[in-house]
Amino acid sequence: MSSPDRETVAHLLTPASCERLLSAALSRGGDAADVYAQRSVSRSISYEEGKVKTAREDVSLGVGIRVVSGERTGYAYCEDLDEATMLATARRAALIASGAQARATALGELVGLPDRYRVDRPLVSVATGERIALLKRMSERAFAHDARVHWVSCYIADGEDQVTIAASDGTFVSDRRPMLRAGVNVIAREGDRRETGNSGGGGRVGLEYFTRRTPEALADEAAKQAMTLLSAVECPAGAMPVVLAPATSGILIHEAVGHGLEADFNRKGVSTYSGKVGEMVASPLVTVVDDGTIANDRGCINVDDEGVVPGKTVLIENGRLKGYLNDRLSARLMGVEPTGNGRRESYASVPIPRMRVTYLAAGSDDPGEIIRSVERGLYAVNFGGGSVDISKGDFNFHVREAYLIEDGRIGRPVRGATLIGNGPEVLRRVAKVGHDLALSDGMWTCGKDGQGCPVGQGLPTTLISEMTVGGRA
Amino acid sequence: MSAASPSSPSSPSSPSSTSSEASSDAAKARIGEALLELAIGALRAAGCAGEAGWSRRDEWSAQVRKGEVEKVEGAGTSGMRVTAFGPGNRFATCSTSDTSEASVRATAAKAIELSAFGDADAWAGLPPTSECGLAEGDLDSDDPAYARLDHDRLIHLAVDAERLAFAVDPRITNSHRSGVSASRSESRYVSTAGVRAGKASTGFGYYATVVAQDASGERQTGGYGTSARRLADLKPVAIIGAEAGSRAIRGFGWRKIPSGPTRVLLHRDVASSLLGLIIQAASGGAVYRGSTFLAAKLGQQVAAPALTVIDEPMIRHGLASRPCDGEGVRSRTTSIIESGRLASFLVDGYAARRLGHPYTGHLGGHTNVRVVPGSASWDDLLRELGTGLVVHQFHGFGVDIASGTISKGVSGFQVVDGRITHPVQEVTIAGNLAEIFQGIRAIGDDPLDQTSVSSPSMLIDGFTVGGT
Repeated sequence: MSSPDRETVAHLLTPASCERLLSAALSRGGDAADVYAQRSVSRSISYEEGKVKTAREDVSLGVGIRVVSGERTGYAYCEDLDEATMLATARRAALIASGAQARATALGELVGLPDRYRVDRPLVSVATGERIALLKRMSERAFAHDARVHWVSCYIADGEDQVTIAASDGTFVSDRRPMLRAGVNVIAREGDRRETGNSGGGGRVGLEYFTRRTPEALADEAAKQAMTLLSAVECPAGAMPVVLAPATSGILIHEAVGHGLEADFNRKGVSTYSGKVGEMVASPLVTVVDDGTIANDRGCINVDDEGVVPGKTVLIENGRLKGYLNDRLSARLMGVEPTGNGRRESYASVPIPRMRVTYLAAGSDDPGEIIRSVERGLYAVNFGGGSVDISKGDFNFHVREAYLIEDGRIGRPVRGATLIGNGPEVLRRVAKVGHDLALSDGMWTCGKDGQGCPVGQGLPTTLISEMTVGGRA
Repeated sequence: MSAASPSSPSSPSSPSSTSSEASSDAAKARIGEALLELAIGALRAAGCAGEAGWSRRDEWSAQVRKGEVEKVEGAGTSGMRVTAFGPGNRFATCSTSDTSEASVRATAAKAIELSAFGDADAWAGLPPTSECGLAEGDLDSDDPAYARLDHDRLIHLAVDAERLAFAVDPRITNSHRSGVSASRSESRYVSTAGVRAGKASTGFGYYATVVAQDASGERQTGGYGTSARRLADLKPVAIIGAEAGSRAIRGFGWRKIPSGPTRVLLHRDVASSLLGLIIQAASGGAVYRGSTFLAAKLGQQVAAPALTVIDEPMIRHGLASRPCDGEGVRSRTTSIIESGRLASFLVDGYAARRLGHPYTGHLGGHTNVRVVPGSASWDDLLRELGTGLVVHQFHGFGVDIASGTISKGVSGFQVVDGRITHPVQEVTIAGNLAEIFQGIRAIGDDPLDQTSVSSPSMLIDGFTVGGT
């Protein structure tokens, strides 16, 4: 995985400074301590009515220090890289422990890190004017799509996140993570009726993203969605077969399976999947993977926020539960290896088990055949968001774009559909899995414990034999 | 239990150190003032109008599980934000969490530089000074108790609430987490027009979330919490524990119900969430973009006459109270809906000028939003519901403000002839907000809650269930 030409990333703190902080953090004992320094720059430009609406640049800088003692965590952070302030912060985190000074291993820099964010045109060197030109293209194209387009707003947001991680086991590593997100929102009107359409994407990429997915393609997708909704009929309510379209439907896997397999919930015994490793928890057609290695994806990372290099973690293999998503704390308490899922929103938050790129592996069914096999059901294409109750396993997600399936053919568009179900139950009802796995273009942010985290997801065309659909007809 | 007692170095126990704490707050505020002057000076030197904000926050929190402390967090942070308005009101905003002088200078310079990339916009700019200032009244939102916090006692609130939740039912055998937090925030605002504002407030809260498991192995979660500006205003642990426990077990024995139109009684928690949608739909930004179903409805009857909704910024100790908004516009009470008629949007200065709407002081969002309670008791509402669905929880997203489409997962109870028959889960309710608000049949007499958005229970026609 190592790449000899990976650009050297500067450290925000020296190893010597980190060693002093770790020593202060362990001044009252504890099993482990770590230091997380972060400097983030984020830029965004939004464009509406053919004009630049807002231009922003935000800088954040801080250090978070953690002490772990048994199952207890002490955490403190500051926004000053002055040594005296950082040492006071370390001693504040240490208050959780109450023993004698513990020793940290001498720091050694982690070498041979993968290079998963290689970009052709780093956004940091792209002029503001060039971003505005792209936004203008998005906006003009969306208006040109249809006279019923009433309002277009689009944005480009990008930034770099530079981190340095030092841990009492000797880990010392820095990473610099680029991120781009672009999107178009369209409001369409016809008489009294108003509908919205949106599209977006990005990832750990550079400006070359817009050659793969042009501003015009983003605009067309958002405008087309709004037009579709203007002609949509009310969604029928009740239990019916549901076919999930590839890519964005991966939100089903994220909500129905992913969260329930995060190790913190499982070591505490509060997840519906707790204690079920080795058991059949899904249809044999279901293989679920959480992968941190997919280059340039929004959810990929060279190293997690605890200094662990992530790999590809198989969660469910042919229906059988293989394991959980671990951070260091859960891994130590459960006696397993960390999987590189320890992630955090920023220096202001402790790392917790989080997903990276979570997807349902491809099956062998023909996507066209899957749709033809359904007499009456719903074909769900685009999603607005979802959530899950970890303990019972009930999840829901809001469908932004969906069509009726009538006599094996995709028919009229419907509006206002919500899908609801129980994770393990829906996984047992996975009846067909297509060979057309696709990943969602990077625009998803997962929320947990008040922390937002960029993630990816994917799914091939998939038939759920029965799900509860919410609608008005 | 053996809750550890990590007392923070910044929580002095002797009264003498309280005063040094206060003077250090004052010293930090003076540094903030100096940084604001630096930023304003840089804007003026560049010939720009603009504004600068400084904020500082101290926070402490602890998480407890099964009587043991799991996590203790503490931090002191500060930040600056600068907006520059160049010729033609071209503007840009920059912020930094690094409040060194050099960084504040760089932030102001960047805002000035970026503003040149903006486009001229006649509606942008600072609000007129005649609209600015502080509303009269003492919010009393800065609790001196923060300076002498007893962290052990706070941790015990979470521990006791969790223990009392466990005591509700033997099926409650696990804890998701319980927690407690305390914070103090301070902010200052200065504009090149000479407007100055500032405020300080404390916040306290704690909660418990427990997990019950029945004989079949099914797990259900229940949680409840309280938050307030003053420590003494937090609800007692007996209430938090009992409510968290009863919420964990109320769903056992649930069944789905058939799909079809139904009358719905929304518990005040979900009625408040529905109220949040009115606030979104009445926000000035959505109105001028045409992205709300209320866009062309000012002055019209948009809800049943039973509904009156007020935004009240000056409630003493209110969680969302403020004397002015984020651009220094003086706070004032705003009737959003008066007996079902849409009386006002919630606008910031930009939307006010653009829509020709009176200023309401809403840069930064709503304040304390209240539905005026009705006269129906819960039992009256159940009787009037007759046969239908009581909803006590919404799940997920499923709302489009532009079209008014709402479709959400819900949990609740089936009611037949005014009597609860069984819990209901894994169903949805869907409708259109325009019809839902017109379909309000009765509003409960429940006392309003401490939360910033608070509604009594509501009986509503116009939803369709998605079930079996």
